[in-house]
Amino acid sequence: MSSKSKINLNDRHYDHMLLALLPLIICACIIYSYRVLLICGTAFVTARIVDVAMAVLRKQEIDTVDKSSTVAALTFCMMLPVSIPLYVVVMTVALTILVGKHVFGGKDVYPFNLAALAMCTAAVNWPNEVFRAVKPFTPVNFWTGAAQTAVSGATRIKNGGLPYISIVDLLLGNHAGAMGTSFVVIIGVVGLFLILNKKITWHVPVTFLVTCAVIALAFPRIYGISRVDSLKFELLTSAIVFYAVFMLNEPATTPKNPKAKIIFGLLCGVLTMLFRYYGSFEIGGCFALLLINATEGYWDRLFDKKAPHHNEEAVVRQPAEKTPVHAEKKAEPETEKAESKKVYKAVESDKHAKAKQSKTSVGATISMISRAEDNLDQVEFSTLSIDVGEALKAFEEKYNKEDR
Amino acid sequence: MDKKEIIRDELLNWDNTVRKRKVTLSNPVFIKGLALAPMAVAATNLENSIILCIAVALMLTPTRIITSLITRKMSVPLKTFYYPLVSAIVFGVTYYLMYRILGTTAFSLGVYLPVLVVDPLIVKNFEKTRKESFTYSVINGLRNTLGFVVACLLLGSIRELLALGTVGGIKLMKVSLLPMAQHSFGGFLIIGIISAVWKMCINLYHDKLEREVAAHE
Repeated sequence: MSSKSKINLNDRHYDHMLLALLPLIICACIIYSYRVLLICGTAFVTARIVDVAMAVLRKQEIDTVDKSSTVAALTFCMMLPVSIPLYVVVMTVALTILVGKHVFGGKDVYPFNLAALAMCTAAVNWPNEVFRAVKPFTPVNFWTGAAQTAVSGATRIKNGGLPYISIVDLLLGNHAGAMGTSFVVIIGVVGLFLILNKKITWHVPVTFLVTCAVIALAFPRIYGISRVDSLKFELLTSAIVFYAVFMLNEPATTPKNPKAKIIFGLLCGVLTMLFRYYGSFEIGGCFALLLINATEGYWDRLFDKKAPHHNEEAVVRQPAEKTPVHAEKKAEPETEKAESKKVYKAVESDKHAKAKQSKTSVGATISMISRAEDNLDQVEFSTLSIDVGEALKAFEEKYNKEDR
Repeated sequence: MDKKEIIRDELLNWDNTVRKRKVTLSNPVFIKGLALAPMAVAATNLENSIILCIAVALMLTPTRIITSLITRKMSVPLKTFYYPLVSAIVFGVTYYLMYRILGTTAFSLGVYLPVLVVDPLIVKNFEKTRKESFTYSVINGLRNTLGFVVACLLLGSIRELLALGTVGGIKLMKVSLLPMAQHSFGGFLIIGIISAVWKMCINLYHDKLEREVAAHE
């Protein structure tokens, strides 16, 4: 089994995403503990083992350049608290890579965002472990993950309370929450870097964030404070900025067309806020993304004019649109003068066309030759008459001679 | 008949071998995909699995025998009505017997016990045009029942172990590895994974037979 594989654009994207995740992992190590590395390492090893095992079982090449599973595993880890038990990480990553990726065909063809799928799986299975936030700068047991827990800002908002966290702490991630989703400044800088270097496009993240902001501003959940403050807490206590940068730009599960991307971001934003407002879990973005992932291909087909089915539709629709019943009715009362004008125009245009053809440009020559060839073919086909009986006789004679 | 000849015979008549071995090679649940709804929803632990097994054991073979005896000269459209009717009558008797044996525990599966009346596992044979002899229907019914019982007990044990860390109420693990195994979607997921592994084992067995025959020759 060879280990060589082709590197495509998606692989380069995953390389950049891995680099982008690095600052978050370092920050998480500083704020929480080195257990972050243990969790990330466990997720990485599990993802690779499942990938290799599936390649062996399906008798395929082991893809050494495929980093989609690694990126998904690490992105998923960033959404977990540092106190998460390791078996949760192992089971979730293994199940997600197996069912979410390989069941659907593997690299580049899976329909649902793997990190979002993993987070939803973990949240449904182990809600107590997944939503148990850890206080920053407190000791955490390296192996068991036992730590001083606290109520996260997102949970407080969900329960109808007000998170008393200063804006500086909100921006720097110095509050109880997941490992890597609360460092808003760093995530923002990383996102800007990726957009400016054209590693990701602005369409999905910007549309998503603007939609979330508009909904949070228009329908504030937190009472007793101004709308702007409510917006601040809505966007900065949850993982919305993290979703915008790291999860909504995965090439396998995001539309390719810019207009489709805008619709995708918009719908994701609306659904995320709906899930946050009315859902049972705080990770509304993950559920929203999984739901919108199912429509990803549709938006691309809708806006991509180069898509073959689009042209077929256009070809079929055009004559129907151009020859409606009204047009035929209008054509009836035309006078003879108008008809003669039409004939005159047609003759003139024919003359122009012939004049153009006579020009000795290379293109014209080639087109003339090809046209002549077509005509010849037509002539041959129209005049050629094959007597099947005679042909069979000739074949039999030839066959008998060869046999003798 | 020595071992070599048995293996060769198995390979040459592979379709026949598969048809005969209802427990392993053509398991009604993991290979044929029958009775998926009650398995995914009701067989969440070993106790529920045993109740389901008793119900199927009491229903499957009698239904098959009665229908094979009565519907011999019937056309397929008529059989379509007749099979569920017979199965419903048999279920009535089964329900009474289960109540006598298990008490109210028999009703813990809710609607997923009566739904067996129209499950393909019980009424699949109506589409067959071939006439079944009494002996054939008894043997095949028992084989199918055994295949279902093995699959159901295995699935119930695995789901209970993954979700609660116990098997039949006996604690085997401290943590629950996959709590969603208790839910229907987890059940479908686990059935899918077991089916894949089951099929892989069958393929490996087939390859092994081929290798053995090749080695002998």
